[in-house]
Amino acid sequence: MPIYVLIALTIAFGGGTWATMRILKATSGFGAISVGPWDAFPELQTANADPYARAHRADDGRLLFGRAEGLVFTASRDSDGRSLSADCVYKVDGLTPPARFWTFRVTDSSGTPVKGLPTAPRSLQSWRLLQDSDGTFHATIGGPPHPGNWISMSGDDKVRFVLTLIDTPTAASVSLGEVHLPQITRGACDDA
Amino acid sequence: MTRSLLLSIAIGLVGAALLHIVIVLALPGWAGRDAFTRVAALGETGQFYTLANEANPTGLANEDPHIRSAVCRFDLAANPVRIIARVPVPLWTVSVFDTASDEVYSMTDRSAIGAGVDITLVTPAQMLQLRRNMPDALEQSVLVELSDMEGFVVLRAIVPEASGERAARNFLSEAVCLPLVMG
Repeated sequence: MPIYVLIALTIAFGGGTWATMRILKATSGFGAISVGPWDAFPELQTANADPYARAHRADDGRLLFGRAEGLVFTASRDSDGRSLSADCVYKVDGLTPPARFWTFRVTDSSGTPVKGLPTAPRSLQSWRLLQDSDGTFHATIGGPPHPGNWISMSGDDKVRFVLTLIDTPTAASVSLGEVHLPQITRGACDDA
Repeated sequence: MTRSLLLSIAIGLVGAALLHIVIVLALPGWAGRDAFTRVAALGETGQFYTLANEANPTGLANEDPHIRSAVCRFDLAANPVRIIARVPVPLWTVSVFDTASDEVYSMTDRSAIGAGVDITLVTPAQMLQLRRNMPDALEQSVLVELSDMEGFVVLRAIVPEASGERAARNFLSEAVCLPLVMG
């Protein structure tokens, strides 16, 4: 019965390795705090991170922000739960958590910056941002140049929005449910 | 026949689950591309390496277009290590990680004692020695006691506009991370 031994070994080693690598690429562990479509992992860089988070972190090898430095929120879906695509135009509206500085940028699913139109802005930052008097902001992501806050993205892949908050008390206050993050609304899509 | 096939699939799945657990637990030890390994590959201890803005073979780069960073690996075995950076920038942050890339300390300019970064990393034994005879030069320094001898420091400055690039570059390139020889 060597064929059955082979089947068992193939499933064990092939399946085990493949599934593990997929899981580690896809997740940063269990410690997520989620607000709408946004996720952050405030303990990912600490010794308290769970085994999945530690394995993901070791495989990824990024320099993470310390607790006092900042917190990174990422979104891979819009507020209606559909995957973000570089083909579509998105409206990002709302408030950001208190932070001395924040940036907004677009990456692909592996974290590489997404290309945009030449010379067009690829990121937003809080020190030069058009805001309403109550602090809310409205931004357009993708599509042709747009008045107001606008950044360019092109391509046809799935993308992620990354909101980096620098010097923020957010990690401590998320559990209290008092954190506001912007809504992501999908506009026109250019699916060829 | 069918029974043997089902049994071999079941054994395979149990094996896959075991292997999954082993890989998840063992990966941090042998990934070979975790943050500390990458920082160690940059070069010697005792100096800051300013990171490039574009992805490169070192695996370390400034991912955020508005944040510049530099890293310094340290070893406290012989002496404490003092980190100083005094070029003014609108906002800086710093964090210290151990060899497992776990955060052990972080701070921002808001909680600094004077202007600029002045942090001294010490072991518990060196801390006792410093307490007995505190050098005047360290009065303004933030003393951080670490249980691990080795690790790395990440220093970051923000670049809100392109015009801030030069200040951030100067801040990072003039930052020092040198052993503090105690008399």
